[in-house]
Amino acid sequence: MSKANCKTVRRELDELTPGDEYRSEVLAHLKQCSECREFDEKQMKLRQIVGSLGTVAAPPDFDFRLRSRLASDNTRSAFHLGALGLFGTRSAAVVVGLALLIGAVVGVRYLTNRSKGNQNIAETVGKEPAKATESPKPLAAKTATPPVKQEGTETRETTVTATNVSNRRTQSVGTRVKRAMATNESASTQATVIRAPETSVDTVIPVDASQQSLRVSLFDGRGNPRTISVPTVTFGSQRVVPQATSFAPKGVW
Amino acid sequence: MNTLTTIDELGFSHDLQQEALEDTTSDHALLEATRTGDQDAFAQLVSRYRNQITSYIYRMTNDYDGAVDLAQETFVRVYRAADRYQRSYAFSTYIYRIATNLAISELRKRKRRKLVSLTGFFQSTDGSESREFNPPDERPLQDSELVDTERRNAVQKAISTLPEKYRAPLILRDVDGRSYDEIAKILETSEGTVKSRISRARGFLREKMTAYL
Repeated sequence: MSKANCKTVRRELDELTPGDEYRSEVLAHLKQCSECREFDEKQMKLRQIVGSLGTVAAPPDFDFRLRSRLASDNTRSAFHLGALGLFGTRSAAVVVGLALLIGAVVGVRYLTNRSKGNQNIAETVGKEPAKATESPKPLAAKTATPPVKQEGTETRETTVTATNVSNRRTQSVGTRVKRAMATNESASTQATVIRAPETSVDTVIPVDASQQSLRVSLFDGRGNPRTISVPTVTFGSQRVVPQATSFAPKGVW
Repeated sequence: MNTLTTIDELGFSHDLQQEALEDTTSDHALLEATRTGDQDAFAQLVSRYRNQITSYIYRMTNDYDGAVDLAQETFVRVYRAADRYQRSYAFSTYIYRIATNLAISELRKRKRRKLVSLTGFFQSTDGSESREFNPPDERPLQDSELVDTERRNAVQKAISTLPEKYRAPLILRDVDGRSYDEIAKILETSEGTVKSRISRARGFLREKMTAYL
């Protein structure tokens, strides 16, 4: 039996569908060739095993999961489609143009405001030294009066921060201004006493930690004296602490 | 990765037949109705093909959960592309093509990720894909059912180690029982190529399954 023939027969066997009948030539060859017979047997068995794998079922919730997946996809795609429908290329261009226009207007306004602001600052800076030179005294008097009284002439010098600041400004501008000073004599004045707000509610009641019982003498309606002994009420630590530390004085916790 | 053993233990029947098609409406008509917004028509299509597609992808990937996800993705794509569907070939060919493409791309992703099982250290002779080292247990088994189960496990493992270009035609032919012509259309190749690939795939399997043949 030639090798070429075996190859042809095996190919034919390979392509056969299970259940199909063999051609007479193939059958004749199989009778004579043991190798091809063995091949055929193994092939049939293999196909039988592979075919026995069968179908694996989808899980019971397959439809439910698919439906939810499709629903989520639909909402997503609907959003995109809606967005595309709303904003076509032309309308998108119009929107972009409007946005640019608004941006430009806002930008121009901002720039104009900024330049105006700068101009104002320049004007105020230019006017300030003149003011300072014109009336340095009232400013100093104004700033010095509220906290201190002015009595007499010879006293300690108290420099007020406000005047200092104004002086610095005037110096920086270039005009020398006489430093304004305020004086105060505090030796004869009484120092202010800071008192805590009075609290009438919080009264401290000392707790007597003595272990002696309380005795009360009473007279009943007939004139007979009666003594009642009330035992000490403790709250736990009252007795423990003095006994635990021998150095602690009595009554101190 | 799920193995066939896990699925078998879950109790899925291996002899599940395709659901009897009570409705004689053709797939094309159902898809046409889906296109017009008929949700029930699409549900019917899903019920016709869900098991076949899940099973096919599972045989391709050997991962049940992944197969279910990919089967769902297949149906999602069918639904989305319902408007673009052309009647030039059968709907089954169309849906199997989508499923095959998804399964192959998943296999390639895995290959890139190098998700090789601990027993998959042994490379195939052509170096294209790792092969499982699965020496057959020579001890005699008492129960014929156990023998069948083990044989099925072995063949599923052997299939999963085949190079993808041989795997798909073999499953479509020997597991799903499709014709060479249909397989060629699904895989977008010639019938001769399909035949030769199936022959090569069987050759690989014969080598691996010598203990069971």
